[in-house]
Amino acid sequence: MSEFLLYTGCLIPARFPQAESSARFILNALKADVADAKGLSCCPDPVMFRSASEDDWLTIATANLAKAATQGKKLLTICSGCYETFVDACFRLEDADVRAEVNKRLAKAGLRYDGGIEVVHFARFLEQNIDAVKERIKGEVLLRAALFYGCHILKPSSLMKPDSLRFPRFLHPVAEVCGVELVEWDGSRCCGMGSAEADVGKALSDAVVSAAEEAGADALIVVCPFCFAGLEGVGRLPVLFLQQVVAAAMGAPKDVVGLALHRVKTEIEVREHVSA
Amino acid sequence: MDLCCWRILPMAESGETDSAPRNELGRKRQTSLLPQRLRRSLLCLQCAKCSGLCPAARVNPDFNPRSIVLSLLDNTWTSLLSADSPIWACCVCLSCDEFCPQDVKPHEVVAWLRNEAFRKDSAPQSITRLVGTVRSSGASVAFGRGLQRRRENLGLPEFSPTKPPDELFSGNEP
Repeated sequence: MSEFLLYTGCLIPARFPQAESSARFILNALKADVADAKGLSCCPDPVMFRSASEDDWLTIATANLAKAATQGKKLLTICSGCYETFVDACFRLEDADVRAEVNKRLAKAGLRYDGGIEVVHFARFLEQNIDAVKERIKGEVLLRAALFYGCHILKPSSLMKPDSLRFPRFLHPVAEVCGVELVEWDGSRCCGMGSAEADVGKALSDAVVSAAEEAGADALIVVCPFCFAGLEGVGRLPVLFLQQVVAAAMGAPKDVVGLALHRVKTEIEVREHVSA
Repeated sequence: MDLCCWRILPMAESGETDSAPRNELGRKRQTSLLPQRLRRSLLCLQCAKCSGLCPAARVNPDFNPRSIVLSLLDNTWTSLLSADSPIWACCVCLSCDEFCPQDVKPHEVVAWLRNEAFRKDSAPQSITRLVGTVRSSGASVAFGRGLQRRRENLGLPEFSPTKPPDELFSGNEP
């Protein structure tokens, strides 16, 4: 049984595979004890799918947790949506009545959940292993950027435990250790992509990009594919996944970082450290 | 189905609210048919902190978390169960749940109303389509051969999600 179980979800492998290849490059570089989660479905997402049926959302999420618990100790997600679903489901399942009712449903598919799996967001994994990350950094990323946390790695704060809701900083060291200069701004806004009304999403993403521009950022760094889709859709600032920045700083080849897939074209310039 | 704490209790049993039949706005309170997890709505002060913080309300003034909680208290919520209802503007940022001084959780109310609308076949098509896609493919988004080529170029394995077991869907029963 491996320590970490990589769960890619759907949006990243199907729309933004560059976030997956960068994450895999980093896990490789760190020699993490990690295997791919096998036989899992869509998490399902904590916004749209949950809007249809909370019962089905919780049941299918628990089915995934049950399968994961037989394969590894920690479920490593690279999407804040999957993260929210699994963390929230684990919390609800602490209630014995809820767990019994869900298990009654899971029995129909020959499954059972008895806990025993921890859920970790890839960005928090980088934060927790910052020393190991630092050791593998080969150069300095020349970039002034705004780090955007989004909602679902922060809230509910009782479960996500961020250092601050309004001005979070817990992921700042991950970008800074790569040499990125981070601007001061409110990185805890909402990108709006959770809304079923397209106009709401567009207006909120636009406001986030405007705030980043006002703060003097040349790019946005995100940790969630929904935020990526919304903010890149505005079309004014390049958007990067945090793991792309880290992978580039670790010397990942261009076809792993995958910037060619971005709509708002950009390059990550890395100045290699001079060895003494 | 009693999965997400759908225990329906009369208010008098809980002892967590006052027994006044009307709230401060003179409206009659809906007291006995609220699902357990929405019971804290009875403590709502209508202070509108949720609406002030709400990013969706800033863009779409028809969406107002305070008045959505009020619709539960004065029993007018069934008028919100349609595909063009303001409940679908919510971005699920969870700020309202986070900062409510009475711990009311307005987003939980929105989520419950959305479930009720879906149950009555009154959800936007995008939601119905999404559930169908997850059920039939195991993924929330469609993907084709072009994607597998892009993945190959990045050195990634083929994307092949597993369908969730069909028995786990409760369908659309009332």
